[in-house]
Amino acid sequence: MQVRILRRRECGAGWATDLLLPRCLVWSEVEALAQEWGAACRCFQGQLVWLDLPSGRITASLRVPRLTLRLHDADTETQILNRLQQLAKSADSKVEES
Amino acid sequence: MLEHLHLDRERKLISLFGEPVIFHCHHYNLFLQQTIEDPDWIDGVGILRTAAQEIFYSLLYGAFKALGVQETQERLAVAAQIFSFLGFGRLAFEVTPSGGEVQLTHSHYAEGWLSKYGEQVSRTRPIDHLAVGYVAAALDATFGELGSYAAEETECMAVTRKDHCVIQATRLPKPQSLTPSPGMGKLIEQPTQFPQPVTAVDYDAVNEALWGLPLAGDERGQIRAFNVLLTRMPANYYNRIQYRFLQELKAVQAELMGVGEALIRESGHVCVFYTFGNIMESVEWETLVGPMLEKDTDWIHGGYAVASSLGWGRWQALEVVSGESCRVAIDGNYEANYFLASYPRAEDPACYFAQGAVPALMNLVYSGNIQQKPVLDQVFYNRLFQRGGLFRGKETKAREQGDPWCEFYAARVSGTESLRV
Repeated sequence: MQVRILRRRECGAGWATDLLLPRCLVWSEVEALAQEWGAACRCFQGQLVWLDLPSGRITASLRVPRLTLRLHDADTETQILNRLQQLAKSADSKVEES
Repeated sequence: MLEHLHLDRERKLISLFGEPVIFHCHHYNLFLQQTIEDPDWIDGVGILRTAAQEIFYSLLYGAFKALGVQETQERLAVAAQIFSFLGFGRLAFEVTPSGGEVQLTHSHYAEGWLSKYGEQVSRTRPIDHLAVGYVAAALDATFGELGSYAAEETECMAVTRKDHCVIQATRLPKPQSLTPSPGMGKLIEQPTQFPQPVTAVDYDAVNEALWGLPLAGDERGQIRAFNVLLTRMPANYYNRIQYRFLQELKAVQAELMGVGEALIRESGHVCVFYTFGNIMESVEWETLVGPMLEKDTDWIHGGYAVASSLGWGRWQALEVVSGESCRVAIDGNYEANYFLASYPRAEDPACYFAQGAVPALMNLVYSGNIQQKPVLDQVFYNRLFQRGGLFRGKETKAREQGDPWCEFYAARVSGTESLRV
């Protein structure tokens, strides 16, 4: 399974990229990603997550396999996309091993 | 600044230093501004600037008083902080009591305009009328009284394509006579108990979830949420510009009033299409409201649950007939609160924004199939709204005419038919 880019949308002065993940993220993964990216992480209603980076915000969900990137830096966006792809692949290989 | 917001849970109103504040996005802000700015036979820019100066003066006066700030630099810092908090961009003041220069970066209006139209159109006139009024208000509240200063945008990034705008402010020889904001306006005494709507959507739970989000301007002075550029605007800025616009049109020629009313209704339509369309395609919606959506009519209820979380008052769908019609009550609408505090009883229903917004939500769900996540752009908007068989609406009860609350009805009509209530 792969992370799929659903759409890139005009969003004020920049772009927002909507992603469809192969599955919902779990809290421990969100925390680990926040630490790795140096993002401030806030969770609302135990479901909605905002990861605030110097280059913008990632909105994620623990309830639906969706994520939106709203970053002003294309390089950071590419790195984050690659990291999410890796995460999806490693989850796949864990499933295969088991 | 979040800690200074006051939430009136019963009336579903939010205020900041005594001024009601509501969320709207750049699509609506730009459309409404352009509507007022465009006619050559009235001073639209004057309406926009003056309203901003009047309303923001009241807000800033209240802020300085509540925070106990006396020193000039402290007051200017608070003014800049509030501007960013509300999502309008960033201001840097270089001023003295005689006036000076203010640099504006990440302007909500200029960046919003560039992102929507910048690739197709060249702009020759400055766009930041709200910021111009805000700067004059900030100097009024810091050094003088309401109307002491005038401001002018001398460089606008929507014109120059540079990374900032410049606003010059000067002290007037004598303050001009301006009208402060009516503040919270005429509030409902007690919320009306409407019958429980038939829906899986828990309005109160949606309200609490959205009120819990710390929606505030970031380091650029921009509020990023729900896939749009949001602003937390003083409601009375919208009220004042829309009612003054109509008054000025009427003064030029009485027949123009109807055109003006239709344009304000259209702004409500644009708002719901873009703001609610984007909200309904956002991760926030899918996560917080999505689990409550069992039927298509729940999308309408979900929309009104969100609307009543934005500081707009108590919006509730009383009845939704799938694909056919809806009846919506607004108890303590922000338009009526202002109207009743500013004018005598209305001759005709005057909640123009809501008159456009109610049919627009039906169009979004039942004509635009928002559940399928269409691309919300001008092409889609034109395709959708230039065909027949759309929903139209009417304000059937009006608090501004003496009814206890406002009520709206929207139904699908063919191109030539008029709406029967």
